[in-house]
Amino acid sequence: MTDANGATTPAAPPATPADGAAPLLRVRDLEKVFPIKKGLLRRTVAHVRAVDGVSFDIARGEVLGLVGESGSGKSTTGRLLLRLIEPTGGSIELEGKELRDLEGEDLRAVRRDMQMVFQDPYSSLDPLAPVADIVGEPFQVHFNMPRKERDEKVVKLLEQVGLSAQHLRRFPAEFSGGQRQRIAVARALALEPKLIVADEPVSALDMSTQSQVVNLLSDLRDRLGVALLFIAHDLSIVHHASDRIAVMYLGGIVEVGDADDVYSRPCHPYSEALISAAPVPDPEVERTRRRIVLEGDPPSPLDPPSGCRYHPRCAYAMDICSQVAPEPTPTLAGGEVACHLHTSGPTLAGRPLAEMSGVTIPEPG
Amino acid sequence: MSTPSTPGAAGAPTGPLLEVTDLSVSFTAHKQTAKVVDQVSFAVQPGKTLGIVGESGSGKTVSSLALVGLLPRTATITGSARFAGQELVGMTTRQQREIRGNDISVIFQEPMTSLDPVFTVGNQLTEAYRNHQGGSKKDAMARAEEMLRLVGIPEPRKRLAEYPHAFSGGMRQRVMIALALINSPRLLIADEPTTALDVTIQSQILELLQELQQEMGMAILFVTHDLGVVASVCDEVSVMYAGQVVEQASIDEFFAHPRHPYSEGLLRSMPHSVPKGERLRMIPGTVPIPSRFPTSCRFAGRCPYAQEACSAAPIPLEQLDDGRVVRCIRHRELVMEARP
Repeated sequence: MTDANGATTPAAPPATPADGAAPLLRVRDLEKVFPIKKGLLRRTVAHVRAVDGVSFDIARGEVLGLVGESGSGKSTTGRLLLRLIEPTGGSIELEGKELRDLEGEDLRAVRRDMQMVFQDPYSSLDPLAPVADIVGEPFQVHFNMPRKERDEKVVKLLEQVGLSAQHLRRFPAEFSGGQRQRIAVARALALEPKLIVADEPVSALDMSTQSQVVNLLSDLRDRLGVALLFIAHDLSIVHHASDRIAVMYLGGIVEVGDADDVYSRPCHPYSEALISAAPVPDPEVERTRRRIVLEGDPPSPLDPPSGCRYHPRCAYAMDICSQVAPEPTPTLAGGEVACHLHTSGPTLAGRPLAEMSGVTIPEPG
Repeated sequence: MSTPSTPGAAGAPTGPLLEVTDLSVSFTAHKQTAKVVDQVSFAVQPGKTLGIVGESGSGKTVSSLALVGLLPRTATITGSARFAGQELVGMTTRQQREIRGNDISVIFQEPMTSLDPVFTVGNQLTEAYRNHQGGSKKDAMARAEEMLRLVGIPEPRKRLAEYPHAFSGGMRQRVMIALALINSPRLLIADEPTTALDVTIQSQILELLQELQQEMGMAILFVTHDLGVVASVCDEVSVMYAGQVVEQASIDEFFAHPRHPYSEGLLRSMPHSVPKGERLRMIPGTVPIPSRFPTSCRFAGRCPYAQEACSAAPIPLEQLDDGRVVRCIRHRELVMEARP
């Protein structure tokens, strides 16, 4: 039976930074080193390079998916962009303006343009505040707007995320997880930001409500032109929601490119392993496909491996991989990959890894 | 997944290893009773894997924990659960202890909270073994080492002397599996065993469980919310919604032709079911809370096919000729597809 719940034609893909237009956000060599302190005197005994030289662009209205496992630095990267934590190196430019130099009122002004949606809508909303205050707080903080005007704005925002004026005086506890995440999105939209950083926005939600929130985020991009950094570990959702995907491993981006290319024709061995590890809801495919099972655990970011950080788990590792860190090189599909397979030895020169590995990834849809 | 033709030892070789019939669980608090599991029935065949899938609040975890007496005292359990001819419901605590960790073992989602942080891994493994098998400490230690090797932990002898905190998340789950399997259970209850793990570690653990099942021939009751995991490790699947089983089928039949509107909605809401660029399908609304479960069809409020009759009376769980089970009065007239 085919039902009629609204399938729409795909929106025209927004310009990627490769088109030459100035990107909305330009991140270069972003770095965050956390000191590890120990003992009575809290002496620094070691450093964790949580984010180590990350560079990417986000175009206006673009959705960039950022994927990786726990400890890859993807959430830290998201927080660094908004300076919720301070970077220790690199640059973040929003519309050509360097954010790292900003302080006080200037920083607050820029934060209107960048908002965040957190993973857990059960802890990111004040349980004692009614929806009107949660969503309306940005207006009060930034414009000192009177309550009546604020409430009118809040109702408009609630309608944009599929809630209504009758929810204005309710408290977070009266809402389901999916509805709470809508409230968090409404709050993020309040100041008409140019970029929303969504850190695992659907991971805490039940499966039947995940797609509600993913669709909402896609709608907002199409309607309001807001760009999105979509941080998540579920590749099928990221693939669906994103224009481009960046894959992180131990603090660095190993591959970035068009979402279909990275998902279906990955060029980096880690991308391939990560994508092939996720089981798909099709028993026939699960029985027949070849899956790469990675040996061992991700190494500790406290003591990352030399050279390419992925080499101890990589099935294709060569001598050079343990000695020299690979530089990003262009892929034929227009993305970038940091892997010696593309530049040394029997080189792939930007072709998909499948040409060498024979691993195919089931096409969605 | 394919499984060996050597189901766990004696018992009736033809019948199911575990047969749950009309299992209900209620909790009473502040003089109010909430029936969170309502007349759930399913069967697990020897050596096979049954997946129980559902969202939070569906009752999937409560039904599986009820089988082994791991619910708090406030829970009232009725119905029947026959395991290899033995009735599990109404067993004394002592009888439950004898069977738990021995014939039936459990692994949980969060391996750190299920291992005791103040005892070494070797200590916990040998205790589990000697509690049920007796024997010397030395024999138990040898068995513990064998188990750690079996679950793929490098240098097992050395690691026996270490505490749980010294293991990574994936390695802890391996220790949990070793602990659960040390007495060669005939049934393993795996409650979201990979949900807290990264996807590359998840695939290691799923592969390990399948290998061990081949080797040891145990049946697995796999509780999960992830349909991808179901497709990859289960033989059959039982779908729970709001405390009830709404459908049970072999995974091939289920993923190709779901028979219940909720199953169809779930399958269609997976990102895999629509091409990129199209909107994801969704199930409108949310799961009702136990105190507000309707007495008629519990999914009717969210169901695209609901009619008046759906909200008139309780819907029975119907056994179909092809062995499938479905709780929907319109299943004969509706033709459903996993993809929109």
